[in-house]
Amino acid sequence: MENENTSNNIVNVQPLENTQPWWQRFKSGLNEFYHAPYRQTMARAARDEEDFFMLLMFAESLGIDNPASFYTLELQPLFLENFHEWHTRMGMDRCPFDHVGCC
Amino acid sequence: MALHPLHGLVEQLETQPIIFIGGKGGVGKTTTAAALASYYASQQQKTLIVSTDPAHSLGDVLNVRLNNETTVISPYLDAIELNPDVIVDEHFAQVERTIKAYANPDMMPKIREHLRLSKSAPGAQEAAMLESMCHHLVEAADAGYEHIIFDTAPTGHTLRLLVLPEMMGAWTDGLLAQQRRQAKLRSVATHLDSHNQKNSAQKNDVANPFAAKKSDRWEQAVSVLEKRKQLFRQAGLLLHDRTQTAIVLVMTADVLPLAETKRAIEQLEDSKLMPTAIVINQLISTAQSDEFWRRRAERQQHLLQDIEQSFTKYPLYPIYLQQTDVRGTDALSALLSV
Repeated sequence: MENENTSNNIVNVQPLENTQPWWQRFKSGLNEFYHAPYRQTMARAARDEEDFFMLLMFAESLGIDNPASFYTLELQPLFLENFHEWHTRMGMDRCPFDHVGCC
Repeated sequence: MALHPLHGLVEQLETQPIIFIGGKGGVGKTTTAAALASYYASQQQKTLIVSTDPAHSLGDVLNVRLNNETTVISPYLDAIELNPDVIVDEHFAQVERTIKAYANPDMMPKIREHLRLSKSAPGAQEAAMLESMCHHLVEAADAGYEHIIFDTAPTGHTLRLLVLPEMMGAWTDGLLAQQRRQAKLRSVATHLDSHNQKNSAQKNDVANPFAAKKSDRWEQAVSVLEKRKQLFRQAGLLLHDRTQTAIVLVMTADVLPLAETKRAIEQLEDSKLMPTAIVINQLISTAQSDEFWRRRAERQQHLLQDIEQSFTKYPLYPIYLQQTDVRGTDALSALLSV
């Protein structure tokens, strides 16, 4: 069955249109019923793990001496991407530190 | 007497591929290092002498202008003066090249800014120099040198060599594992998201193209880091192998140098390194006609007794003050022929 909605945005909730047959709507509803609670848990687990690691990298941003960090500068983009995602999710629109430079 | 004839130093270090000459400024590190290098070269043992002194003492002592590239002094002697600015520039240029290959182009300005800040941060030059030293250390044997001599003590950053591979590994693995876990968990969450019709229609199983793409991106960076880690590991092993590395401390017969040498030995022993020998430089011969100089010479002799008592574990080699500055490989070689 062709999907009329061509949006690539994962976050948007796709309204169940009357264009879908009843059995498909029922199937979607059942899917939600079973999967919704787990989705939240998985997402939360992802956040928790990342948050812990973000704390480590936060310490790094605060200038706490880490001799290894000079020799791992090649991973800087990875760090920046993670850090940016983290502070955005923590509710800070702009980067809390000027020097980090993700914003 | 625990004082040994100077020629013994040459014999003691004969079979050591790696020699560090340490000591405070002005005691004669560079002269001692250059003398050893000149002597071995005169015996047709191919030698590389490496200086980390920004004041170009090595070039002065050898009467040759030196730079960050290998300069041939004689058929068996090469010399390098490590230039921290050149080394740090090269390091960051390479880091930027590696990053460019996989980073999001939009992020490049911010990344460049961060690299610029890191470059001028305290410790950056020492860290880059350490990596350069390790390259020379590890590659010396393959490059055909029987001896590589550094006119610097392995202190500070160098002593961290042993823990660097582990720390780098923990940091790198942490960052990457985090990323992969994230991607995996996100993909599961996404997979569970029934509203994401497009993705679920394309996928047959749990394999997440998003996660695979991420790890491919970092592969190049990871291989660079892995090589660097290996370099430090190898250098650390060489440094702690007494059959490979000898550490000679140079001092003068004076109160402060004595205290400093004791401290230096403590620091080395803390890192499980042991000095091989101690050189006491700039000694004044006791046969002096002038009262002033006779007094000075006597004072040194008294201190020599203290020195012998303090360092019973290590062979001591005295070097007497010369009438003129010792310059050029012939004069330097002759210094150790006593």
